[in-house]
Amino acid sequence: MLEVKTSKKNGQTVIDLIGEMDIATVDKFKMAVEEARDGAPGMVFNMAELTFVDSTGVGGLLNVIKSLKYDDIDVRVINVSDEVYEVFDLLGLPILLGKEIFQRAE
Amino acid sequence: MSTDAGNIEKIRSYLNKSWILGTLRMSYVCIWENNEIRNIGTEAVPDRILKYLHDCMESGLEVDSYHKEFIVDADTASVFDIYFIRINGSSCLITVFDLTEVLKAEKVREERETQIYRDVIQAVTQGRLLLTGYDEIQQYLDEDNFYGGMKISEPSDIATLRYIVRKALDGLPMSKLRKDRMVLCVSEAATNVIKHVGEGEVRIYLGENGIRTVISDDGPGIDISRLPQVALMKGFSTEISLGCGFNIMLGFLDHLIMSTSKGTTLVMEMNCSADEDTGYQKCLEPENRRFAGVQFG
Repeated sequence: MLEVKTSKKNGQTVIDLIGEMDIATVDKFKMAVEEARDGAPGMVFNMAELTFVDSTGVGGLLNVIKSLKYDDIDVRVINVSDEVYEVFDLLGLPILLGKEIFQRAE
Repeated sequence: MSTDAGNIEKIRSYLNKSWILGTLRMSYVCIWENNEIRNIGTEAVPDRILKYLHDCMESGLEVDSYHKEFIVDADTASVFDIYFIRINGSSCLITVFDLTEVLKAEKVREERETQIYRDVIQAVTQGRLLLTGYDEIQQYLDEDNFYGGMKISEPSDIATLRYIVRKALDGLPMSKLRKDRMVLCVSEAATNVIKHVGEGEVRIYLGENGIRTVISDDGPGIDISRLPQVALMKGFSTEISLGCGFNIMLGFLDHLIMSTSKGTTLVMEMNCSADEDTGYQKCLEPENRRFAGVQFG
């Protein structure tokens, strides 16, 4: 299960990801981004409550971020837990997208 | 000119060394003329092949200028490669090559190749990835320690599977980090099955020293010649479709054993010992602990 909540905060579009992102749920995330991207100067993906992600989820995230960056939409991924960051790291996400867009959970 | 001579010499020596070519024999040569087959080779075409050639020619085989057929003789387990070469409107040259030994030689060469892949892959993965055959992999189905399993056929089944694996891991003295990794690896393998085959089966075993899951499908299998690349490269940049999930499995599992001859079977093992965050931890089997064979899903 994945719940995706979209909100506005300080002019930024914030998408909260709650639950698990995998082959069954990644499209839900992609659709939420498609709905919210028009005219957004920046987008924040809040992963505080993302409990699981696998390579299919990371692949979806990578494509979404690449497409947003292509449109000059500023992207940040915040509250990334150690477990989730480990998967990102193993798949080379910080190298491909730049470490600076990821903010680890405290 | 001397380079040409050198090249020819190289080709010659290569041809001499080629044991597959060495096993190729032209067995019979004959001519079809006036609805009759006349031997022109030293050896006469055996009756069983002759009958086939007659059938071929009489069924009105359209030999334009050249035609090629394979026949399998079940009685002698032989395979023949037959060439029909038209000479004029009413006659045709027929040559018969016995491929039986060629095919055997090719099989031997394939087995050697597979063995080399196995060795290379085992070496580059520090022994974590083992390629094996369908029969050999059956020994990992340790039914005494069967915990549970399920069939997977839909994307939503993978979340259920993760839940079951987490439950299975609950009782094991293993660090959370390793448990999370195991759940992730099972998720990756099951996702590959859903993506590339559509359905498969997962079985979970709990042993004294850790957890083992066996994921199998009846798909077309994985091209193992791509595995060394997958094993050596990391991340999405490799653009290998099976790559990413495989990288995760290779990075995290203690053992990954794979057979991809009849469908694909993946055995994934995570040990309790040598946790990174807890240090070495002996995985003790609690007294009288027996895992009931619970069927999930």
